[in-house]
Amino acid sequence: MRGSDLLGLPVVDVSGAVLGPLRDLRIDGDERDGRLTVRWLVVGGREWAHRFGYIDGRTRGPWLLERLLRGSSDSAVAVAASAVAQWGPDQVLLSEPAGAAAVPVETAARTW
Amino acid sequence: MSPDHRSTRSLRLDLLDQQVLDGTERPVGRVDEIELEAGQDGTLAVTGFRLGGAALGRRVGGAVGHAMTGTCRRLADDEASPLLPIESLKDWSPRLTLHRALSELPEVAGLERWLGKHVVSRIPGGGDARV
Amino acid sequence: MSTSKLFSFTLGTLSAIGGFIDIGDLVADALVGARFGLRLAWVTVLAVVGIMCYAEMSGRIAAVTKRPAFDLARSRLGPRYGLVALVGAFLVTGLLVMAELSGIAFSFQLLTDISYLFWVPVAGLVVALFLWALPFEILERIYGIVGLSMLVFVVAVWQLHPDWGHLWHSATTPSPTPGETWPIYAFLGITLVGAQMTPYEMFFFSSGGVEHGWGPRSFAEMRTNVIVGFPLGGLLAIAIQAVALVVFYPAGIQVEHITQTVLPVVVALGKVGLAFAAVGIFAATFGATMETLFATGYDIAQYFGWSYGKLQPPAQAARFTAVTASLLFVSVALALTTLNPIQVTIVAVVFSAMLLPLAFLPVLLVANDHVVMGQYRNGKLSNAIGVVTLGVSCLISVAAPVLLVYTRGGSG
Repeated sequence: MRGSDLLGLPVVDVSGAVLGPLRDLRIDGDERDGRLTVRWLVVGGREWAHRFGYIDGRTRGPWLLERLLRGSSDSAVAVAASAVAQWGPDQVLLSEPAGAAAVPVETAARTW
Repeated sequence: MSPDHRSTRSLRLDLLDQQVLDGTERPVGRVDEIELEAGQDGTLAVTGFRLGGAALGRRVGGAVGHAMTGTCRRLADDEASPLLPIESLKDWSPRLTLHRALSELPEVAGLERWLGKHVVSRIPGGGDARV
Repeated sequence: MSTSKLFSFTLGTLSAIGGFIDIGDLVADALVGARFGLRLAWVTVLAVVGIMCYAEMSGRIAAVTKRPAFDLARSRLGPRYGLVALVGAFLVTGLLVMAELSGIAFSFQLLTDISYLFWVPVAGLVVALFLWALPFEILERIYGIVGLSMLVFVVAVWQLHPDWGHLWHSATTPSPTPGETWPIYAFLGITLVGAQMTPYEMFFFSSGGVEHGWGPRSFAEMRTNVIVGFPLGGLLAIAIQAVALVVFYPAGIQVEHITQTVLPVVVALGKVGLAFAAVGIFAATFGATMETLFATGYDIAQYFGWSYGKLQPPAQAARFTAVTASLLFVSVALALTTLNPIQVTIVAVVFSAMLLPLAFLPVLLVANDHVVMGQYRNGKLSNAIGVVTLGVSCLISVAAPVLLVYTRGGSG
């Protein structure tokens, strides 16, 4: 499946609740078998805040720009790829409830 | 880990739309699309990527994207924007680099090769199109 | 000091000359000087500060990542908005190439009295030959240095023995001259910004840095280029405004034709002055043609990910070569339609001013990216000036089309 088709799909938990649109995937390069495996999903948050790298945490500042784009609240969460039951074609279905699957992006980012 | 030293990569910030260099560090195109596949164990992995206007046009969308895709399909001998398997990638940090040189990748950047061989290298001082 | 170190500032000078004293600026500065004296000189000062900030940022990014400024546009804006930026930049720079070619042709007209239209295809051919045959650094040095003969305008200011108090008063009065209105003052201010703080200066400077092979150790060289080149460009621009003030303003002469722009130099320094001015204009517009032409070629190549520039033989950057050559050809054709280069330039620089935010934003973002830049990311000063410049360019982007219509291109 195409990466650009996946991005934007609604991520739905096991009870049918929508966590938000899929905004990004964290990919791991496993040196041993040369595979690039998806480890994390990043769900929700403003599209442009993602595009500019603010949610990811790599772009810090300038202060004014970050405030404007990110907004005062951050609704982005991270979900481990192991929690996914089905990838597409119309949605990404999780095998767990949102409460268990979703963690704050900052927490997940520590393992990135 | 601080953002300066991460081992994972972001699909949209580090892979999609990034410049691709060939084995000789020459720019050949951009990652216009990424292909993924779910394995037996349910994990999703990147299987390859596509370079070229046909794939790009699909992402740009609208009339412009459609025209882009159509033009590239017409110009291509075989499949436009064919899939480059993930094994072709030598390195993805700091820049996406392929193992092979452009001359060994007949399916990529056909227009560059054609223009180089048939037009530009024929003009005095144009140099050699082959690397 | 080796010669290459001595001349290591020429990329900056060339970028600045192309940006600050090309044919568009020559006309804009003369026009502004004739109507408003030095009352818009502060705009030039701000434009210098803004472009220095972004040139340094894009130069630093290019040195650390080998990625020039337009490469960043697609990466951060995505393929769709990156394409919008590309089309905008292409249209603006395409029009400017046409105007610059007319400028080269005009400098030949100055020396030979034969109409510039005859010289346009000659100019196109000369440009093509030079850009094809000569390495990037040689081209840069020739035009970076010969362009300095535009300093004749600074000399001319002196030679005209102006009332310095009057010049100072003009420079420190940021309001329209008697008989002129605020909308026109604002519109011409925007025109100046569009002419002087042009994105192609940044695209060219950063791509030139990649052509030079800048690395993290090249910061001193990169910054020398910025510090020497752009303020020099600003100084020359203000000198052109000043001589126009001294010669045209008292007589109420409006600048409507390219030939008028050198008149003050002739008045001050006679035939010698004219010769220097002609050489300077030739070099500045030639440099600007190279800059705008290559910048457009770079933008297109970098959007699609093609190889570009002169680091390798043209046959190994075939798409870039083909596109750049086609653009030159189209510009020659456009110039031959006898479209008035002045009007074309005014429209082009106003649209360029509207595109500034799209060009600056990706650079500012990547300069703050920890993953990409690491320890070389922006400090507080770069961010402060960068944000202010971006904010101002957003305001200009909104005000420009409104004022263009409202003042009917500055004539209303």
